[in-house]
Amino acid sequence: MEGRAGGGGGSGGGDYISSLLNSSPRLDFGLLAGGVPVMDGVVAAGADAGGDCLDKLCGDPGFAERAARLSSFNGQRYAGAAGLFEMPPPAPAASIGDFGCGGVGSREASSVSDPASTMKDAIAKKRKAPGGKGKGKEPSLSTSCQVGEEKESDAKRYKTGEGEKESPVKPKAELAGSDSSVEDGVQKQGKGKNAKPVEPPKDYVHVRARRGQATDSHSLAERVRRERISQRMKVLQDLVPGCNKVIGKALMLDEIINYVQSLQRQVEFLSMKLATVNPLDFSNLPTLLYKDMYQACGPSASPVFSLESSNSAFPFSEQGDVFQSFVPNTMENQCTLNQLDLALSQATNAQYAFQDGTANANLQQRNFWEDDLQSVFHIENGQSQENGVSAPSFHGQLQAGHMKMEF
Amino acid sequence: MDGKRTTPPHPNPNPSSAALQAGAAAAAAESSKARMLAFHFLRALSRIHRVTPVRRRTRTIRRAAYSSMARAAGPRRAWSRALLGQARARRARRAVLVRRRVLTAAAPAPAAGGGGGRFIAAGGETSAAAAAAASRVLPPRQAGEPPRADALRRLVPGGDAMEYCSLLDETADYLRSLRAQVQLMQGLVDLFSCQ
Repeated sequence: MEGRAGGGGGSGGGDYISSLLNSSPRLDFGLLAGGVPVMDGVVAAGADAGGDCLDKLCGDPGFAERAARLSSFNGQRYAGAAGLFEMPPPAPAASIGDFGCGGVGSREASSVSDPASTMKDAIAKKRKAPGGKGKGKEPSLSTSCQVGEEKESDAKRYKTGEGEKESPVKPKAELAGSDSSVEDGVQKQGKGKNAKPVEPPKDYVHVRARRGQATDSHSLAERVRRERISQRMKVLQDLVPGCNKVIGKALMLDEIINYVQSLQRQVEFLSMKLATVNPLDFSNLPTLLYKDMYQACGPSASPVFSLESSNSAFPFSEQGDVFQSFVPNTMENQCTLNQLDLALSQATNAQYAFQDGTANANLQQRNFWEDDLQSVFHIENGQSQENGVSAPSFHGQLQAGHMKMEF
Repeated sequence: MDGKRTTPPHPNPNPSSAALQAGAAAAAAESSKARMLAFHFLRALSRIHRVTPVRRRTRTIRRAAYSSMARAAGPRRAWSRALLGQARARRARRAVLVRRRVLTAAAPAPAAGGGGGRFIAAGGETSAAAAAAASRVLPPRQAGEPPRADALRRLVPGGDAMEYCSLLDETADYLRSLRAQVQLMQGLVDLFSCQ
């Protein structure tokens, strides 16, 4: 049976971020996994990126990789991550330049080049001396950052030397190029490249504007959204059998729809088959199931099961408070149990409504159920202390229930 | 009765118990979610077999299957919340109708008249709900989604109100649960059919 893979799709983005960030033990990104609302497509308002953020980030040799990957943070707002990175939400329409030392200068969309250049400077510095400064401490890199700021023109010359088109496109693409080159530099320790290799498609956190693509906030958000959708389509592709041969979103969607429909039809068919199953077999199932669950879950969970089972036969109102008090927190969902209570109460009412018209066979089956419940309940009684307090009250109700049944 | 109180977990003398036990063990798989599923569904199934007349069992079992799926999945998922909400609404409607029947028709043959009235009224309500659904405006943030997405929305419970992205996410989780439910039911059918 498939359990939840990777914590479920709901936190898929967070898992990616955490996996990315955990790749480097140096920086303490441990808390980030939960707090990053990535890929919401929300364009943040202003950037407060301090210089110290880049210090921390520059201090890591893997920084360039992560910088490249996390460049999608630009278009989004993270209140949660801000404190962690010491990097508050970046500017809108911001390219990768805002990432890191964006706060040095401007917070507006128009002045992208400034922080971009500072970013580039830092990376350029890094590229130029990756061995030394890549592993440098934060203070040394803070100086390098400031030095980088001073040598802005230097870096700009370096950047323009790569032959870019326009300033809005420049920071991103240049940075893209420099990022890839820095990666190479980091990995190969000092090989500087002026070439602009085609960026390999990263995982879906990373959004990198390719050459010639617009970098405004809308297209960025769109791109992020598209990557999210494609990522989820991949997940679905793994789930749906036979979807691997199909390529293309529309066809895959058709496959998925067909699969869901077929599963639902199967449920209908199987429920039809189960409706005609011999009902006498059910008398033993609850016992076995409870026993099995007891052995598997451990004593902490089983009292809840036994209480739930006893709930199904007894008036709910009398037991409501006791049941609530005994729901252990180790159970998966308290919410579902509450809903279960509602369901059981209504089921109980329905049962008592039907009781007038039930045949003898049904009564016998219900007595089977009661007997099983009793036996199971006393099993639990002997082995868990929690039940000890409520046992007498349940005993009384058990007997009362039985007396009700056997008229 | 007193003897039962003092006995330890009683070994089942029933010859079919071994198969049942194996089936129960198989049904209660390692993952706790599968166990929850099996627990809810089996209990509902036994109750249904006790209570519901045969002609209405299929529908009730199907609804019980979806409810147990939703309960096992938990309230964190939009589809499970939608399913449980549907079930609750259905129960509320039925309770209202039953009460109405009891109050108004303090007459003989309540089952036939009340049942018929219940069905008619329920049909009317569902048609009203369907009309409301048809006239519902789709959320506007669906620029990039393919046209087939609305079929998916109809399939996945609660899918109408979601963005495309989260719809895909919910579909994946719904598929996993659905598959687990089908496996469980298939196992039960095999179990009972080999008796």
